[in-house]
Amino acid sequence: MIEELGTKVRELLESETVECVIGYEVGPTGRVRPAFIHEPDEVGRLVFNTRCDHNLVTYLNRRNKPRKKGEEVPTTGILVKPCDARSLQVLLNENQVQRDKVYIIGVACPGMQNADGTLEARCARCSQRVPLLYDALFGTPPEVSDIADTYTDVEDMEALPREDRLAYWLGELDRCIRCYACRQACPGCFCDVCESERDDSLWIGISDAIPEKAFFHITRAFHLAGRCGECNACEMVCPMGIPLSLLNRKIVKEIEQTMGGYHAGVSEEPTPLITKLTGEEAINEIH
Amino acid sequence: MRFIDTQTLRDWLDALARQVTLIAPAPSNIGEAPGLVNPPAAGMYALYQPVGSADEIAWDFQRTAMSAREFLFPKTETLFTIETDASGKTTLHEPKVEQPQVIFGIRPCDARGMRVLDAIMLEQEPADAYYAQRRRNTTLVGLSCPEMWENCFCTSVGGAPNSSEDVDILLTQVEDGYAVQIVTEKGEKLAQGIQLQEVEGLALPEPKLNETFEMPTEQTWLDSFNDVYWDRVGERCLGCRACVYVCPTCRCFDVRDEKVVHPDGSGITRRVRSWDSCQGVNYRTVAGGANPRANPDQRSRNRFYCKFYYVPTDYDVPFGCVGCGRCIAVCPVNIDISEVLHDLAQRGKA
Amino acid sequence: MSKSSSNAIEGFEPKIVAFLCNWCSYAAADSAGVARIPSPPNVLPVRVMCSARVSAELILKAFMSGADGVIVLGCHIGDCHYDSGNHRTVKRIPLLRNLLIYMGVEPDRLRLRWVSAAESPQFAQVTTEFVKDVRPLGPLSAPLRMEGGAP
Repeated sequence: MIEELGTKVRELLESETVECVIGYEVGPTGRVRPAFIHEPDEVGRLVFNTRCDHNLVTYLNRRNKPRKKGEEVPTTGILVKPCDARSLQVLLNENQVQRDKVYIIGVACPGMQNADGTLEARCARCSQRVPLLYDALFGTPPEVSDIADTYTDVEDMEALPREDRLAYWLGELDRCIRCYACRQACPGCFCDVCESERDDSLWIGISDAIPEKAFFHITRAFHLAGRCGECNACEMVCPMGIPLSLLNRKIVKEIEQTMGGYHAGVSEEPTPLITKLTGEEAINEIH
Repeated sequence: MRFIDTQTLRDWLDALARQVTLIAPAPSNIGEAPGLVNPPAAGMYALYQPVGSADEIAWDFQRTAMSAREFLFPKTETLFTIETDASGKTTLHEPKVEQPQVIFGIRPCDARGMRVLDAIMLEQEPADAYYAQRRRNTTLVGLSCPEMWENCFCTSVGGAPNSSEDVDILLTQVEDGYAVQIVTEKGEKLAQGIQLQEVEGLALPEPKLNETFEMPTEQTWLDSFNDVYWDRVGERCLGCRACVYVCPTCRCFDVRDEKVVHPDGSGITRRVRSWDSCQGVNYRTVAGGANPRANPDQRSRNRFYCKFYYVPTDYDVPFGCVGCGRCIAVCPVNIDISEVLHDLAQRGKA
Repeated sequence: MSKSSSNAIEGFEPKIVAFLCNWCSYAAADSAGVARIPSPPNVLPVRVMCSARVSAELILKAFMSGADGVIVLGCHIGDCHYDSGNHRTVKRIPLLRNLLIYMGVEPDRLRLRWVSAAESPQFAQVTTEFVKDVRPLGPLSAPLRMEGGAP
């Protein structure tokens, strides 16, 4: 598969269809990392294996403007797994990326693995192994049964008594260092100036007080409501190991169960939080 | 050679924790998040924290996930507060930090990090008074590393896993206890409370070393500033800042005045400083909106130049980096400072 | 760290921030005042043009700044002055509330109700009931309350 992929990438670069292709490579110490291929002769760097967990779509957020004034927006080739393609669909829906400025190289995904060889939790509950969006597709889709997400991780947390939930989240928030790695890795977070980082401290200041960190995490999860593709990049990059998927998936579950089974990034329908759904006219009682 | 057995050490630490703030590596549940991109090895989860007894210490730790600099330079610090009462009268409060603290179990690289911070914070006038207060009240009891671990490269930047240069007391683990080297007067003073034995012919174990690599010359740094290499390093940088927050020598901060006004007109204004990072997109944005480091390659480049060119040029330390390797471990996109140094050294030779 | 209802502080009166939409609930509050219908004094009204304007940030900032309870009052479905603003509200506020509950905040601290301009007795009743439900919870503490007030 990698040979065909390499040939395609070489062709895209040589024909100047794209200015650069974003994929994965293996670094000198053996770690998989994002690779930006600018020259056709560099295509040998590209790999695709079960440690390619990064969501590369986040890089498109900084390639949707010309580098210098007066220049054209560059066209970028990008490798997407099915979950990444969902994030990309969200960006296309929101006009953050123009469809004709991105060449989507879809890869059928066998599921990503943790460092110890076990299947990642998010992949264990994924039945969508082919991206819904692509210009070219590589790889053979694996045989996978139709798995429905049962949200057991979220339900386990919901089942705890209130004091235990509070203690758990206070512990996690305490460890947070407000580095914003989660926000930077997320394709859905593309604001030029984040509300949590305003110079005028309009919402929160700069301290590491728990209430300020709680504001950041709750607001970020809320801003991603109906837009989160569950790629798990936020959790994967956190240097303090905070289980952010537990927050985002709570919202994903709520939206699926109360807003007509909606999932982000599977169609051109935007998040139900900004639209009027049929059937809402009947709502007059709230909890 | 002076020696302390394990139980005596633990008893001494228990007693010490009652007299001063005792900070030591303690277990954390960092490793429990499923599926980290580059999960730390089992010995790398501990965090330096205040502990109440020797039992709370993570004795099997290798390297802590964060450095100890937050105890000299806190993540958030109130520089002063101004209280205004309802009549408009103002009172200024400056916090005094007098509580003595002992950082136990500090690795030689982290202690070297404190020496770098000392140079940056104290060498030039005006010295950072907040840092100075805490530094005066801090004694460092170091713990030699039995070996250099993955990502460690202290020996390439003038350090060593068993170096006693930057601590007040250095302990090296031997059979049944620790060899004790008292290095400074502060260490001598602290050691007065400990029962130490004299042991003839106690041999200190040689730590297992990683390969030392050649560092780029000053001229190479000067010549490489506009090299397209920095584009290649920076383009995958997410701007996540994790590298800065775990670093023992990073010292950039942001300052804000935060004011709370009560309905009766009284209020309190706090001048607060918090850690900041040159890797953040808007770090260098100035009034008017211009940003001289708008591109990720410029920001990545700045980090390396700061550590290896600006700090050594401006202050009396050979390097601004101590080779602890935390930034390598934590970077989700594998921007590896040792790889950059190696690449640059090669460029210098070409 | 946690407050259960049996921990109520003697003499504690909760501070409530009420986000009222200009066309319905704010008008109701106004009429309630004119008609001298008793409403709890704990309520600090904040007028917004539509309940859909009430974002998560506003509610969280209210909690951080000293509110022990936040209530959002909007128009009935079908009556929104802007046609369907309240359709967004009815999805967003319960979602935020469930997220806050998930993180350990008491369920009764955030509430959404519809109160139309003609329903001034209901305004008084809804706010009185809310204060009654928040009072036993005591002041809001972790994870949102800032010591010494939010800047």
